[in-house]
This record gives sequence, C-alpha cells and structure tokens, in this order.
Amino acid sequence: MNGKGCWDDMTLDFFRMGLLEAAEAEAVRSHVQGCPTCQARLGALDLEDLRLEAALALTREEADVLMAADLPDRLAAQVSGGRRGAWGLASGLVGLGLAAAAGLQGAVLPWLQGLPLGGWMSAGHWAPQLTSRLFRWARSLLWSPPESQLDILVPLLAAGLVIILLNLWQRRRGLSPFHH
Amino acid sequence: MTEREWIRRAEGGDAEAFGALVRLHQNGVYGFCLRMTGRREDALDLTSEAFLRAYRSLAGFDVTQPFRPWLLRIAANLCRDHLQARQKRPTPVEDAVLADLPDSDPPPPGQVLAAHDRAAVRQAVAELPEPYRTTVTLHYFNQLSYQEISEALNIPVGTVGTHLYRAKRLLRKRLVEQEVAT
Repeated sequence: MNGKGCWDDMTLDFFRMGLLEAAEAEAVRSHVQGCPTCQARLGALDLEDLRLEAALALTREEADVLMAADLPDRLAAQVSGGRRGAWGLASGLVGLGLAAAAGLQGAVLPWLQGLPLGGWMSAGHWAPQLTSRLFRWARSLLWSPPESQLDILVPLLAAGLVIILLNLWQRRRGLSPFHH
Repeated sequence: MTEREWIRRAEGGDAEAFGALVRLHQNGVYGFCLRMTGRREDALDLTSEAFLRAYRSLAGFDVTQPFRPWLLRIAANLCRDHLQARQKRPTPVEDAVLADLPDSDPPPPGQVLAAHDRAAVRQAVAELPEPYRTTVTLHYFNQLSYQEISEALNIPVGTVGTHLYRAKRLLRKRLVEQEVAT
C-alpha cells in the first residue's frame, strides 16, 4: 500500500481474481470504491485480460490447418482399426493356444507318461477320446453338410462363450486386448 | 446427445462417439498445443496423441467431473514432455528463479498490451517460461477458471494466481523491450 492508501498491483490483481481473504478483499473493495486511480488501474487490468484473450485466440489460418487435418475421422478410424487389431491378436492367441494344447497332448503328455508319440491314443484316456470326437465333428462339418441348425449353433455358441469368458478373465487382470 | 453420453459410448469402444468428442474439443486442445509449442506440425501431433491417450484412459475418467480440464491436463503433460525433449539441455525453471527476474520499473498494466498487435503478444507469450505459458494459455485461451487450472496442473489455486500475475508482469516487460528494440 502506498502513501495514498492504494494497493500494489499484485493485491489488485488477486482482488480481481477473488484470491484474497475475505477481510483483505473487503478492505480493497472499500478503498477502490473511493479511489478513481485504483478504479482506473482495475479497468486497465480488465482491458489487458481482453487483449490477451484476443491475441491468443486461433486465427482463421490456424483453424484451417486443423480442419484440413480431419482429426475426428482420422482418430476415430485409428481407434476402430486398433480394436480390429486387438480382435486379430486375440484370435491369433486362441489359435496359438489350441496349437500348444494339441502339441501338449500329442507329444509332451505321452512323453511324460513314458509312451511313444501318440501311444496313448488307444489307451482309453479321456483326452484322446475327446480330441477324436472333436476331429470327427470338424471333419463331418467340413466334408458333409450339417444335418440340423444345432450342428452349427452349438459349436458357435460354445466358441463365443469361451471368448467371452477369456475376455472377462483378462479384464479382471487388466490385460484384455479388447479393452483400452 | 450430451458430452457425458459421448464419453460413455466412447468408453465402450464406439469410434463414432470418440470422433464426436474429438470434434467437440479439438479447437481447445490444438490451440493449447499450438500456443505451447509454437509449431503447427508439433501441435497437430500432440493433439492427436492427447486424444488417443484420453481414449485409452477413459475407463479411469470420472464422468461426474468436467471432461475439458481432464483432457487439457493430458495435453499439458504431453506438451511439457515434448518441450523438455526438444531442448538439448532441459533446465526446469523454478519459481524462486522466476520470482527473482529483474523488474525494476514495471510498466503500468493494460497500457502496454493494449498498444501491441496480436502477433507481438503471441510471440511474447511463446517466450514465457513453460509453467507460466501453460497457466496463461489455459486461462486466456481455454478459459479455464483458477480452480480448474489448479486441478488440471495439480497446483494450489494461489499458485495459479501468482503464475498469472508474474506472467503478465513478464509480458509487459518483454513487450516494452520489443518496442524499444524496434
């Protein structure tokens, strides 16, 4: 505060911003009401704000550059493609898992059990029996037309259920490729 | 459709809703990045990256909170990282150093900025230290309140006021120097 009781610029600026404590703000307000000099200074600060806003606003040329970049469509396509990529990755992982399972039951498990490769195929084990059924079903689907709608619907629903369960499991772990 | 609904749909993977959000906020984010970096290509890249990061983080966004400050916080972080990487030897500017900048005879408020054209003011803003430039741009370009800036930058409201005051003091000084130089 100077000799005339006028407040410094920082206090006046904070007063405008509403950042002063209630008591100090009241003291500044009562002074400004009776001080033409401080009223003019506050007016100048307001004008300065308007000038800054006008100076920083986007020019037409700058806005045109942004429009030409077509960000909304480009970015939407990018995230859409990203999701497709995630589905592709998930499908690939499922395929990889199936291949690994096939390798496990065709080579690793027999080896662990001391049998020759595929040696337990005739040993009454549940895994080869199930695999055999699946192969028979897949072969009949590929080489002969399905006899009923259930022949198509049931495997598709089962596959969908597996994918959904995998997704939910991965989401719980925060690792799902389906979820960004 | 409201912004909140666009956000919900985008969070569920709706690319069209995400595009709508980009359309709604691209001016603000691009303008902010442009004022921060001063380069159009950089600003476009940073704007794209800010939106993509926001998209990936939508699951963690509280839809009861305003979206714009949250989005601008992402943009501000990206711009700060970008500017630091652009400098060969990044030198973080501390408040204490900024407070000691010489200001022996500060010109009166209002008169100086009023006398200069927009390009000169923009140039002076571009030369402000990064923390001040961020605050000035968020307030005068993006029209964020002090409270919103405080939340976006994770600094106290009083610090926002101090940054704005010191930034304007520096602007007046630099504009006077430019005038003398020309």
